[in-house]
Amino acid sequence: MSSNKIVLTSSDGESFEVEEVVARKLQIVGHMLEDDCVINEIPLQNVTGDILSMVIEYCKTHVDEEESEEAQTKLKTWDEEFMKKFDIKTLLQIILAANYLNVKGLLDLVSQTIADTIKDYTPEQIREVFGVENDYTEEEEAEVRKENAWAFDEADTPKP
Amino acid sequence: MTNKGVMNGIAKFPLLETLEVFHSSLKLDLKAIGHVCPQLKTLKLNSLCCPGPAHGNYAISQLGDMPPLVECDDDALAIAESMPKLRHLQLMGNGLTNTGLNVILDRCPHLEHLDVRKCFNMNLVGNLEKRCLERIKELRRPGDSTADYPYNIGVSVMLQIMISCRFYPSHRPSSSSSLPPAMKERGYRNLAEILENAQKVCRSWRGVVFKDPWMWRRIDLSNRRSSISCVVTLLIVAREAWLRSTFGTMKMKTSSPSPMKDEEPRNWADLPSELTSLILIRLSVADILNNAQKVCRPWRRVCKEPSMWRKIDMRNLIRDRGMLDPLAIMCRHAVDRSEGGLVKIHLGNFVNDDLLDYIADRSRNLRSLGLGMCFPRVTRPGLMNAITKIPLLETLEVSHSCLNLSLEDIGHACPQLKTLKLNSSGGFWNSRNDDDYALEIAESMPELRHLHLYGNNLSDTRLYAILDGCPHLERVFTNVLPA
Repeated sequence: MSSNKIVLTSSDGESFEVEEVVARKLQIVGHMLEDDCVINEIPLQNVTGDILSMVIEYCKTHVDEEESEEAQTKLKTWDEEFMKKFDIKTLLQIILAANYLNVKGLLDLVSQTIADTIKDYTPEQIREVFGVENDYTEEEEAEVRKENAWAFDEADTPKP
Repeated sequence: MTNKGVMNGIAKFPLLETLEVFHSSLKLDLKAIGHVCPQLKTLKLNSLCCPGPAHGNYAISQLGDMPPLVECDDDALAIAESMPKLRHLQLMGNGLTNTGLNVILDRCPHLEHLDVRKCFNMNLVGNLEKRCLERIKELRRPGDSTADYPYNIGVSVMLQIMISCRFYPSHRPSSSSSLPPAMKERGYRNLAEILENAQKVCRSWRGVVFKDPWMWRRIDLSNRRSSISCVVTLLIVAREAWLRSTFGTMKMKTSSPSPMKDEEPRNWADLPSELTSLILIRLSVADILNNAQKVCRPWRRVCKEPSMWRKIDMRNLIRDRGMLDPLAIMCRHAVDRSEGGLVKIHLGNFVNDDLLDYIADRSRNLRSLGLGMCFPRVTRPGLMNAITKIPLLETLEVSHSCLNLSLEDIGHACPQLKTLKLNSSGGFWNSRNDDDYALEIAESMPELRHLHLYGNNLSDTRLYAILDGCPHLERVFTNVLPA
């Protein structure tokens, strides 16, 4: 593929000039290019410049995904370090952007990172981390508890 | 359809490259359209045969009996001012004059195709003509015939508007692959037909028609003499499919056309459910049931979706004997939530005959079954009883088990079996000769692709027997002892 440049513009008007191969990692762009090869400037309405720059950084690193084990390990290490940079609020924006721009690898990476974060957390801890409000009424909470009364605490008496 | 409605609609398609409006008595605010759609490359306006009151240059006109058009360069000026990227311009029956056209030529440097048929207020001669001939690759003059015009302008038609717009869905859902290619091809061309016929074929096609935004990338209703309500229905379906794909389900709830940015979820609880499930599906069964589903209502809804429970992996839940029953109950609960959609399950040492039977009864689609350390709670007849109920099984994995399996029976009960993994490192093969296993595999599992036999003492003669009996075998992992 030639080193054709494509300009991606974020919702707040920030422009990024990237190689076509990098832009194609954003499948939303890939589909547009499929349709019409003369596009060289693409407005992306649902993503802000700071988030888009992160997505582009990911795509640049993953632009040629080599099969070799060594390259895979290196990428994996990079992914982990990359994810460490973000707090939970930024991760929310990144997962939305990855979904909108359709970057599958990034979507998987962020999902896994978030899942790893909340693993083994209690509901209260998860609410705290994510800033989610407990919107259950007392009755509903009791119902939830009743529904899975088997194994809240494995120390509880097991249900017959 | 009102001007405001059109503007509202167009404002939602900032990537619009082509806009065509035919036989419309609408007085469009072209300047606003140009600003909203900076990518606009093709504009076709046809104001012939419009019923309704005359609006400036949009005069009532009949073919063959053209009343003089009102001279008006409003459209031309608006186009010149706001659509610098224009390549194709068709203005049929417009009131623009030479001045208007000159301005357009000045301000739209990329213009290649120009169609000004029935625009009798201009005179394509002299300098203007020269300019056009130099710049424009394809020129249709005011007096040129409209006979080749694809739309029947002799008919006094109801209001017809065709917006050929390009939706860019955020992803191509895999469901479209389940459509036959011919159907997909036609899907792009005649969506109305798809809506009327294809959706009646079966449930999954209906799902594709209504949910797959890919089906709705191009909508062409221009040749249809359908009722307005039909057209509107189509557009609504298309818009919803598109919205669903681009913004997630969350956006669907908001009906006010506020800018997209304000609708962005700021809270994890507002995340579109498909993204929430993408995250939560990576948690363990215990994490989901004990913690995640209790966080908030939207999460609980996601955790109840059967699609979250198509694959259940509880292999790492190894507990002391006294703790096994709660896990078995938790597993039943997980299986219940799959509502019969379970395709893959891997169980830890809590599994017993009853649980296997429970799973088999509810999971006719099960393709993959994994059992770890299940002896002595799973018995040979217990396992056989379950396996005969899941004939579609393709993968069977039994590890660290002292279970004496009847591979021949298993092979016959599951003719689709492609992967068999037996790990007997724990050294139980006292009761049975490994070579018997080899013979049973060779005789009863002809479809086998992958075979893993760990901790067995298989002689290489028997391995040859397996290779003979299983012609599709691609991978064999075993620790064969030298003869």
